[in-house]
Amino acid sequence: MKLIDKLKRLTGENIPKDMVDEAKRIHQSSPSRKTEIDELRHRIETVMNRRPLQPKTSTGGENNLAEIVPGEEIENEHGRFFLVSDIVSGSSRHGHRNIREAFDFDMTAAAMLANNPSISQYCSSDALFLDTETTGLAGGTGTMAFLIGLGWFDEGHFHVRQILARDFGEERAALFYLSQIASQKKFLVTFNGKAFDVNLLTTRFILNRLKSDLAGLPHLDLLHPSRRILGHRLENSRLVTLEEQVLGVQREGDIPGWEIPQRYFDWLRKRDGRLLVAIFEHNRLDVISMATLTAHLVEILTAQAMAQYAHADDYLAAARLLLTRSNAQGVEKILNIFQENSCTDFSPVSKKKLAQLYKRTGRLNEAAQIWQELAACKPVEFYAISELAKWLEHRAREHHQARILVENALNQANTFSTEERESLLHRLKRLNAKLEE
Amino acid sequence: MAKLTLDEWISRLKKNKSFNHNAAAIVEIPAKQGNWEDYPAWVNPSLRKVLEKRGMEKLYRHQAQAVRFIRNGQDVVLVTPTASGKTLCYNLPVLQSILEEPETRALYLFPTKALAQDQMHEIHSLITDLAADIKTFTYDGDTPDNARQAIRKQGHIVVTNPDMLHAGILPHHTKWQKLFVNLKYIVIDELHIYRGIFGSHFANVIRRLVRICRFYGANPVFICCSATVANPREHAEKILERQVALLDKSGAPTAAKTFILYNPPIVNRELGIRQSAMTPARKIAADLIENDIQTIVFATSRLNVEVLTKYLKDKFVKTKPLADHFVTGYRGGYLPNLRREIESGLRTREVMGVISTNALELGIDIGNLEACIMTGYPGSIASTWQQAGRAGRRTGRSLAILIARSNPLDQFIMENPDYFFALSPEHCRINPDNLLILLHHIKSAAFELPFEKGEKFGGENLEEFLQYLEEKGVLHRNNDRWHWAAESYPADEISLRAINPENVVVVDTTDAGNHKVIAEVDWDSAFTAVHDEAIYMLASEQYHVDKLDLERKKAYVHKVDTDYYTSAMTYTNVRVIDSFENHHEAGAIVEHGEVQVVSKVVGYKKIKFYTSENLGYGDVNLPEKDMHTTSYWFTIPRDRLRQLNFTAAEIIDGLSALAYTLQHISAMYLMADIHDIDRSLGDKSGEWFVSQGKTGRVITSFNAGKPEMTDNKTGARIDEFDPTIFIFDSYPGGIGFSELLYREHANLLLAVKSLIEKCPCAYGCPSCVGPTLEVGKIAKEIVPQIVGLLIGKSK
Repeated sequence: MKLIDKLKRLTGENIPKDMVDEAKRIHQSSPSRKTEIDELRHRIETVMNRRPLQPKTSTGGENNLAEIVPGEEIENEHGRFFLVSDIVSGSSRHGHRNIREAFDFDMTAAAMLANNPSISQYCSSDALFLDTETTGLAGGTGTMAFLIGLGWFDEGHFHVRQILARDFGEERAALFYLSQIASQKKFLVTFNGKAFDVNLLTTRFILNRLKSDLAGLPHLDLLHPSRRILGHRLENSRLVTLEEQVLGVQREGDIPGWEIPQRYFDWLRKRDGRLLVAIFEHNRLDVISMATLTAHLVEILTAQAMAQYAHADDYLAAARLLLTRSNAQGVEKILNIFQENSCTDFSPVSKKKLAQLYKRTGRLNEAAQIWQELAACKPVEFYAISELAKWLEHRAREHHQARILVENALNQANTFSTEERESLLHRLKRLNAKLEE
Repeated sequence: MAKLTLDEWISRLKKNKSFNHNAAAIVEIPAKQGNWEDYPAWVNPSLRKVLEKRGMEKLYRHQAQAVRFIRNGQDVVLVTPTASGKTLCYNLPVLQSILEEPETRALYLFPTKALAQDQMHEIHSLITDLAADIKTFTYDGDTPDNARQAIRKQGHIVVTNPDMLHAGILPHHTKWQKLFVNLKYIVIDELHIYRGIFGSHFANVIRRLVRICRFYGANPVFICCSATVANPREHAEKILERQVALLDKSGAPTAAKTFILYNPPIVNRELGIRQSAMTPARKIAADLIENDIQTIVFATSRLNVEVLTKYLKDKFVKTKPLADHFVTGYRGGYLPNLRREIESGLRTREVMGVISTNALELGIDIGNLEACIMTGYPGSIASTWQQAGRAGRRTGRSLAILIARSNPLDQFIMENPDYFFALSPEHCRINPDNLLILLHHIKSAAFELPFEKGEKFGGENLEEFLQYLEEKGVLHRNNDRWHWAAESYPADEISLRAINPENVVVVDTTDAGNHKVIAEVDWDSAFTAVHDEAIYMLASEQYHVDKLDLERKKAYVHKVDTDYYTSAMTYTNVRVIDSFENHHEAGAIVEHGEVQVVSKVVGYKKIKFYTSENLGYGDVNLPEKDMHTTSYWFTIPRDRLRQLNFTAAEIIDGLSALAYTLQHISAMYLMADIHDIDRSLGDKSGEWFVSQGKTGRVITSFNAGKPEMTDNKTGARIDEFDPTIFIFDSYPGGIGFSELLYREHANLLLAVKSLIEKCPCAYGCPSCVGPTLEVGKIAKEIVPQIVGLLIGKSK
């Protein structure tokens, strides 16, 4: 018997006699069988419904790819691949801004975002924006990046290159082309590229026995700073969510990420260029959005974002980020925004954050002003009372006022826990002692 | 009362009449001189100094030999007893090589995490004394994420287990580039553990490992260590697929050992039931410990460990207040800290008695104990020697006592001490080319690296597999290379150790408001253990199964207190598909090949505790299971059976009993669990077969496609069929047992005959032909006569 038939028999596949038995068994209404069959039926239906979108006729073969997706075949010493090149003009719009406005961002701020000082010595046209589309998310050696999207600024315009491996055999040539472009750039910008794209590409370089310096390039992964600065107002930190909520980009008919691997597998079998159109567009938007997202984050960090697109809390988060990077100047700049603008409409949480920032940068009077505002809110909270009391006692040396504050707070509606109450009582005791001296 | 030394204790024991009466054998194993050799000249002086400081002034001859072979790049398998210093055989060349070339890497594989940890400590202490910059790490499921990257890049010696290699390292080999490029040595300890299904998977993991090494241009030397089995070299060569040098002459001195096989007295002659092995174990252990003789007791289950520990603790608490761990249990499930504490307590003699599962059988360092008591045969001769080896490592006398239980294996050993003390008959068997197992690993291998046309992987035609996987859309072919083209991670789809990774969880609904999961039963056992209305027993509690929900993989039970247990009745119908080989032996036709097995649980019996009375029956409605596997079988022409002076029904009883005994003896030869193989009595076409029905044996025969069931007593139709006994692998596709059984046919039958003839029971018992309720009262008389027919007149 042929090996394949043996295998099929062992895995319980399509042998006529067995199928008859199977049918009998199903008839005996074994519940697990039934659901299996139902599931299968459902799957068949899904496949059938999908069919019209993917016509069987693959007449043009891959030759029609260039007609459908405007690109060309490129050959290098490692073989061939398919390349789509595009220039997004500086005057074209992406969400809230023109591409030109994303150009020439502040490099000190970009270095802060990346937490990598070496980036500050470069300029924004040294950045290589990179995003890959892959055959899966499982990771490991069995996942390939079949489409590598690249972007960079040049003279006010944004250049996009999309490198497609039309089959596994083209991967080596595609990777080689990538390494050539990367060698002309100074640093990488990705979205989750540290954990995913660059890791995966490094693996693919090794598998293809090619050298790569990709992992050695300084790397600004936008995922982490986006989470820190914008995460407070987003339901998740996916790039599409950031586009919608922050950058003002609306995608129409976008292919969901989870469908992409299967789409590529379908392409491998059917060679119908129409299957890839949506993937190219999806990847292109990802790359462009990374550029505008970088600009946006930099603007927040440098206190220059347009007021209508930046929330006060974004600034607070940015100031905290700068504080952890010991950039006092940057923090100062952001805090100055709040001095000019009234922050009376802040939520108590934001006010608290702002006060903490003032305190940590030594602007205690401004902090005290917020503590006073907070202490006036009912029911009173420990934070405001305790901070204000400390300030009155140690800085303003207004022991009397401090005592009144604490006494009142203890007698008012408050949210104190037992420990907080005790701490205040302790403070009160000390204040009394001081006043009696 | 003065305390006795071990020598005095043993001579007192030998004078004890009732003990002698039950001792199946008392064997004095004399002390053996060691032979030594000087360190080879090339050994690094500081490495040599560290070893000398540990008392290793010279190398044992086998160590010197091993080190030489390995140095010359020869793959080896070492077969030497416990405490013969085998870890040095690999640690020395590996450390030497790293000292010479700091980029050198080595990979150590141990079958369990605990062993890996233990070995890690040993190498680590060597390295610390050496004061060299050599980094060694364990890499397993417990390794924290933030440590992993450092281990991949810097670990000179990475200690791991096959499961981690399979699912964690190979599919991510690019991250281990540094290790693979510089990999010089691969150490596989406890090689004999890799047999059966686990071994068949393991051999494929090694195929994948070698393939990845080749990709990075590495050609490491394999160093394997195995316990004593019949075929260590063959086994190593089958796993490694290359020639391997065998080193099996130990140069280590051994102390004198008294080895006693003890068979507890029969308490019920009718049923052949003996006194529980726990009783003498408890008494002997207590007496030894009382005489300050440090003792380890092995028990066969976790429950028995706890019970024995409690007995012994109680006993000593009466006489004096105790240090916490004077007598203690030890088993998986104890926290690592506690285990370390007990291990060091054993080394310092603060712990004088330890009761353990086989957790302490392998490699873990607990110093030199004096006496070892095994409560029940550990299942293989290799394990028995490993357990016995825990007592008496280098000098002085030691004692090992094996106490038998009532089952056939234990009793066979008691009745055939020569079999036990002579050359090991136990074989490690694997079938790395089992199509299902191979298919899985081809998928994993394709995930790791694309397959090229003309590449070899396994003993089957690789390209057919690749085409099959291409057809399934899992692989994609491009320019004569097959690439992984699916989103999944194939290594996660399979466990190296389980037949079927699916489980049924047992849910206790006794407390309506608080349902609790109390156990997991593997998929195949679920059909017989937790079918509707079954009594499921767990930790001596009984539970009634209210519903087995196969769809949700749950069995709902509630606690009951009954005086009966249930035993599932299944029918198993075997049909021959392909005979690979056959020969005639004394009139019977002996074959092995491929078969189709259809089995179904049809009902259950209620059996009363203690009396084994049959209290009634019930029906079970579960789907049939259909499996293709490999089998060994033999067919006895009906004419020959007619020569025997028994009725047809009696002969069927005899054949069923023969199959029962044969299955147990086969498991012994294969070092297999009794459930790894199964048996059936029928004919080769599957048109006639015997099964256990409600009121005794039932014979089913197909007449024009319709089954007819007959009671054994009324008409067996034995005249129309030639009865065939099948012993088959319980795994789809087979795991390589059948061919060995085919070759050992005559020896197996002789062992069966000997077991039955020597069993002291009256009419047959579970120790020999099986319970008389199932095989009838005359079986014990018939089986030797049938075997007589099968092995010719000379025997």
